[in-house]
Amino acid sequence: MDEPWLSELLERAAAGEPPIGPVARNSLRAGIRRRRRRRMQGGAACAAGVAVICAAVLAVTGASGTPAATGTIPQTVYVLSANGTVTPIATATNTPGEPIAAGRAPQFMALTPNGQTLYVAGGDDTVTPIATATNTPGKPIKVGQDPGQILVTPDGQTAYVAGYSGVTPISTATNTPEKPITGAGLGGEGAQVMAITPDGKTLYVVSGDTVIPFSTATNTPGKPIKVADQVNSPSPDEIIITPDGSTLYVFSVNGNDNDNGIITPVSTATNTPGQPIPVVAYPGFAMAMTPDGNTLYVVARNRQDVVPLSTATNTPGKPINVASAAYDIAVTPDGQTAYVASECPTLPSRSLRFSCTGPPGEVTPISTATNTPGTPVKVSSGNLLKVIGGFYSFAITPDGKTIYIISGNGSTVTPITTATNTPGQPVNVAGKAQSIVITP
Amino acid sequence: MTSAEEFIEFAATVSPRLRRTAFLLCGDWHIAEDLAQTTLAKVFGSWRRISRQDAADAYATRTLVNTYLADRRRKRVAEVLTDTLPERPAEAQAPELRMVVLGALATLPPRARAVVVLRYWADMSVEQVAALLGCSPGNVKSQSARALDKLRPLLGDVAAAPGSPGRPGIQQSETRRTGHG
Repeated sequence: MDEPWLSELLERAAAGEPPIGPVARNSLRAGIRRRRRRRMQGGAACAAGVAVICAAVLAVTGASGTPAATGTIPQTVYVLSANGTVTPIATATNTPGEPIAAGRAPQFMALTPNGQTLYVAGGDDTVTPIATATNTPGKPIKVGQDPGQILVTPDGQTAYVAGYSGVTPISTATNTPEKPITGAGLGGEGAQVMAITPDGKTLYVVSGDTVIPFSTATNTPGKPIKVADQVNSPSPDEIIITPDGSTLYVFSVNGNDNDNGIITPVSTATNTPGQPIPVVAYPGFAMAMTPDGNTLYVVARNRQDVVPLSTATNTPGKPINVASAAYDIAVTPDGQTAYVASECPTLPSRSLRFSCTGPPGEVTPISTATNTPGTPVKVSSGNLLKVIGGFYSFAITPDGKTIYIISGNGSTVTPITTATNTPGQPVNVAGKAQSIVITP
Repeated sequence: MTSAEEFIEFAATVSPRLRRTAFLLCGDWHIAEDLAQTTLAKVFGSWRRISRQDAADAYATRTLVNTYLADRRRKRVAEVLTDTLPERPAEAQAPELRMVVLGALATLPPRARAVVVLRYWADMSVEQVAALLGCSPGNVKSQSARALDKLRPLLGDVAAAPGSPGRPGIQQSETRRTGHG
């Protein structure tokens, strides 16, 4: 698994270091002083930043601290960028609003079910709540180290934030963090992907090589579920729960064979894993399920296939061919169409596995009734944005009429009308877009 | 040669590499120097034991990574993502490249960052990294895959710049499939 491009970049970045200090002890002392100085400067800047944000919030919300504007919130697409901003786009006009500051190096975001609050997890170990009525950020909420995916319970009362130091519940009524949930192996490098049962009673968190269920009523972790053969030591990468809440599907990379993945069905009634289902898909980070729960689609990323899996028999069907390398998938709310985002390599592929002849990016509609692909909709490159659970490179409006997809190498978002499968004018966003959500 | 002389020779040999590894991990030369020196101090404490095992190099790398991860856990290192890097002498290399690479590395969680640095800079195998970090090889693989997926879009433009070996993209991932048909 050589990555010569990365090795060379790291080599160049590490070159040209300053000369070693003459006396080690002196330079160590200087280092400590410098670090203290930097920490103080950083703290002051941070405090100033919070003051500005608080002032802005007060100005909008008034002294009572409650949102000034309520009532119907116009439908908005929120686009999170790597530069720490969120760009709101009104779906009525497809015009971008003023970018909203959302913490340093944010990576994940989630909307409450009523669409009134957008939570954005930042690299500075905070979660910033944004009131969608006013598009203003609230006071950052301190959570555990390296927050990952955010998941809001179906009743909208709690936002769970996965992270390096466990899972932090946030009360959405007060935007205050509760005690992080740790133990049972929660936390560490793997705690990033989560799913919640439709009744909101059980949250499943991927942590390391296991999936940990825990009761949302008591916030106590249950017995970890080993999802596949320990010899192969696969690490779960994506989990999805059937709409009836009966089965959890866990996608893992086969530790011994990077070409293949394993899907483990887990009964949520007993939290016991069923027979693993091998699928030819790696990294198969994107999965989507039809609203009736009958079909699970697995994107065989970096190939030109999507694998449909019948949940009744847990058998994979014939792969559905799309024109270029697939990287993300979503099903329309009416369940009739699965849209697959894909992208062609911009340079000739070294591999003969597939030859990509399509345009830089496209979205292929697949009829879920027949599992046959339709004519792809061409968009400019989406730049392979789907990385792991919690990143959304495109989103479908709840009425199913429009798809918004990150395009133009992250600089734009393109609306696609699903009735005619025609792309509209790309909308410019601030920074480099990473993830996208739409209010109800 | 006495034990102390052996250590001085060892320290002189490994310290440039330790500093550079530490720099890629933490993104700051001054903190990197602190990390490297802390590491050497810890290695010195165990020198009599490890020098007999002919494993001082691996021990030092492991100590460095553990020191870095412990530092991150204690939040002693307040790394700030910024457009301007801390003060340092005149650049021999293009500063913007380093800024972009460090910015991209800073988006990774500490352990994922360590996996990337150890595998793609220190040229360690999956098994070596797994042993060093105390996790399974499968975990190292999946962390590498996730980290690479995250780094590709961030570093695509710089890797594609003139003088670079290749552009990160799908075709790079495909190379890992050779051998599987």
